[in-house]
Amino acid sequence: MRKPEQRDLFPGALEMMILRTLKRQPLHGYALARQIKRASNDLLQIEEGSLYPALQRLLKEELLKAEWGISSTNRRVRIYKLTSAGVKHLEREISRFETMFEGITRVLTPVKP
Amino acid sequence: MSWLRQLFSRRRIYSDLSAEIQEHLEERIEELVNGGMSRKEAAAAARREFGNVTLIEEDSREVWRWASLENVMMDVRYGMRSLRKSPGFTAVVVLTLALGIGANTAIFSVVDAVLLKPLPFADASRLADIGSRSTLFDFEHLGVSLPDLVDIRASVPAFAAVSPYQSSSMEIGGEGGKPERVEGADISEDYFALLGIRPLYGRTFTSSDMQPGNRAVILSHSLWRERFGDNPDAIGKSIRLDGQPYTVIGVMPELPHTDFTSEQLWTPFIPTQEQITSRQDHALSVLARLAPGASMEQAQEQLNTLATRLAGAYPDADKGWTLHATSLKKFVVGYARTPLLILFCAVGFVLLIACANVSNLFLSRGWARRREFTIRTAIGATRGALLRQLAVESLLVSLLGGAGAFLIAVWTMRGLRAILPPEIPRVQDIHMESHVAWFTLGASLLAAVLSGLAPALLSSRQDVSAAIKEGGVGSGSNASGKSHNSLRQLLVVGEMALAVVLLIGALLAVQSFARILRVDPGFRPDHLVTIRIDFPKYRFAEVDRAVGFTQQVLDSTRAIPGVEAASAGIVFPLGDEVSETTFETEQSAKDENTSRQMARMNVVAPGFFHALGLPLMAGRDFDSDDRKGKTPVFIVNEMMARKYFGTPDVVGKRLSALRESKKTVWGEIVGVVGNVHDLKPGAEPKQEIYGPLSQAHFAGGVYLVVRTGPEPMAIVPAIQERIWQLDKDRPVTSIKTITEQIQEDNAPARSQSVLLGIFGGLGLILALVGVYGVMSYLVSQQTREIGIRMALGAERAQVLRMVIVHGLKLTLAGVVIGTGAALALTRFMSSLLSGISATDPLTFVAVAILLALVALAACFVPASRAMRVDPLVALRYE
Repeated sequence: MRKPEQRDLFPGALEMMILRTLKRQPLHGYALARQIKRASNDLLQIEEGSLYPALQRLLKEELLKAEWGISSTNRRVRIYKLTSAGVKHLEREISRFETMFEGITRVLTPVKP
Repeated sequence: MSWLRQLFSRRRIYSDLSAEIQEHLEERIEELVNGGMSRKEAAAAARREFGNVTLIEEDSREVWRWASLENVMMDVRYGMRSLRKSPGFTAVVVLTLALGIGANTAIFSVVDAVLLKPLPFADASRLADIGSRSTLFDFEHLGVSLPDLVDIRASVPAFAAVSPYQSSSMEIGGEGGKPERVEGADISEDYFALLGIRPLYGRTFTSSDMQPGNRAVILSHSLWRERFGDNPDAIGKSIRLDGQPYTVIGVMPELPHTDFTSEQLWTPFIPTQEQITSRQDHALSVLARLAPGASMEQAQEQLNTLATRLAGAYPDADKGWTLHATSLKKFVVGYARTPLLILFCAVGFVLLIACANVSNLFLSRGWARRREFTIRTAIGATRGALLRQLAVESLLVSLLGGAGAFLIAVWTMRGLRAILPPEIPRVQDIHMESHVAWFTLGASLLAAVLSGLAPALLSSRQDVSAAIKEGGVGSGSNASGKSHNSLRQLLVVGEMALAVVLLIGALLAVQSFARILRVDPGFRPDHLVTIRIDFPKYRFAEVDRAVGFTQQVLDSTRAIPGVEAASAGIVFPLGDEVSETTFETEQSAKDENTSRQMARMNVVAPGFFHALGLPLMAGRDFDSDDRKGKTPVFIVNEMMARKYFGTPDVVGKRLSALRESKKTVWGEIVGVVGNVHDLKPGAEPKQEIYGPLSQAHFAGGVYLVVRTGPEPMAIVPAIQERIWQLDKDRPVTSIKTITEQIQEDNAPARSQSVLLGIFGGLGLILALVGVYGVMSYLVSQQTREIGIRMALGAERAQVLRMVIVHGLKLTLAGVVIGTGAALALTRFMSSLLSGISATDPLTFVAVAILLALVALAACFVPASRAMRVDPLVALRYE
């Protein structure tokens, strides 16, 4: 329905980054956005907002759960946590990504004579 | 059931989401402000980093939805709201569509009941009627002789079964009640098996019923009801038919209302010796069923081969005769096809015009809503979403229109049934059925596409910056404005063209009907009543008894106060029955080469011409002296005299006519009467020969023709009383005034002209509203241009001319196209028109001028509004 480049680098990449980040520690939306930006060295120029549809998708698939709480800066925030299904999903996705990455690397590496 | 939980918790999910996004923005703003930015700058920066808030929130919500369905539901809610906000627009559109679709629904309900619904017989498409035509007789459909039928059975393998039947008319004994005459049929034993109809009670005929002297009868549902009051005990009971006791062996279920199924009772077909041997007796009706795998075309080919062979083998009986197989459905309902299809076309045109108008309204509305669309586009709506919104809106109004249409059709059904001629088969069987509801739905959807598609495509094409810059006050100067206007003009041309075709068709039908009404029948049709008396063989073995009885009835009828004249004939002018005879003049008898000549033949009592008001031009009327044994006498009409004798002065000349005894007799012409004209405008009157009833050799029945001073129907009971005084068992039937008869004959032409007139008028009004609307709109768009022209010194008259010329150009284009289309289309009507050609130039020119004039009037109002434009106001207004 929407143009895909608005949402994602490649399908599933944003979701994977979210899950990976949240595995380390539960975070609320704003912190999560900052974290991903920082972790990717600002290389990934994503709009912060594009996080939210992805979060909703993960919530819907029950890979995440969310709870309202109070942040360190004393704000009412909604904190996201990985569910056990989320942990498994992340592992699967990472191994899939690695396989894919390996494949791409092989293709891109010049063949030695 | 997580989706179910989600469904109910969705409201909370959404509010959480909004709160969360707000908090996100707030946190960012706070951080930026802490970093030293002003709050305003910080808010802008936060939003920029975040992206399109509305769109993202919308996208996030969408995750939780069954996307497409809910989008549509939202569009529906939004559409309803926006339609409610402009009730005027909605009312006009819904009403226009309701009229257009309603007319279609009403006519479709007729087409469905009459033409589309299969006949209620088993495997009805394999049933056929076999009939014949002859070069000698001017009849479309004649019967088959029994020997020929036996040959069909033997040499047409394409038919698995061939079953003869013939109509019959019997007197049913009045137990206490009045004597009655009922129409029925003599049928073969396989007749009902062929049709696949089982009796409601009892049984149908078997071979044991097909013996001479058998008196078994099967009753129709209605006759059983009337005579036995729904009582199944009727089986085995006895009823008197033509004075004989018959045993009821079966009762049939209710059958649809057609000529073919109008029989009241059925008796076994037991052929007479003459029927078995005579090939000349082309009189039997034939029902047939195709053999498995055979087609109607194959059957027809085999019939053609057979007819050629029969003509060679039996030239006396079969030369010039051809055999024809017609599918039973075509035989039963075929003649209603053309008039109904023409009506269907007409209402189709009305719907197209209605759609063009609605399309125009949508265009204007789309133009007026550019602001709204622009804003929606700016906040992230795609063209697809706008299109979907517009599609939903046009669907909504179309469905509302369809619902209105269904109501209109239901309410007008009674009126429609009254307008349609009663001869249309199954017209009583019209109901609003599921077919009709589906058709209405289909028509509504079609209307939605026709009226909504183009405007939606145009309106959803958004040029955001242009529209915002323009600020919503249109000069129509940008590209999308131009295509809007050219579509509008195209629609005007189209609806004008359609209106021209509709009106020409309607005017042709109306003129044809008017010409029929103006036909002078050659006699005085008012205050005349005809009454049928039958002379069945079991009571009137000799013709003289019938003649004597007629004389007695006439004598006592003439004595009734109010009766001015009374006579009788075996047929009467303009009646449903026609009798013909071959004849010879002395000259044609000498000339070997002349083929057999036909004339209409009537056998009448003295005073017949006087009673009708048919002038006696020369000679004398028949009188009581023209008895059997004396020289046969004839009276001919003027047409006969001029055509075959070359002079009106034919009294005393000799003529021979094939009388009912099938013997040719030479007689003398004693008088000449005026011509009777059939109700076909422009048709030449038929040559006609009259003989005296007192010299007749056969009379199966007569029509009394009674001229009265007061209203004829008031005198009828007295006449019936006199007849029953003479014979208490004589049924008196077919009581009808000539005026009624004429109305019945004119019914198809009347209904055609009334309905086409209504639809033509509807089309005209809709088209005019369309022209007026578009011209007003174009003028309002040109206000600035007009203002400038006037500021530069244009005269008011020039402005007026400019607008009117523009309107006229569109109208004329429409009129030219419409006239061309009408030339191509009206010829399909020609079989329904009498006295006027389907391409009558006067009608075409009149409609073209009429439409040009009314369109001119429709342009005049907006044009004069344009003329009053104050240049100052117009320029400032922009």
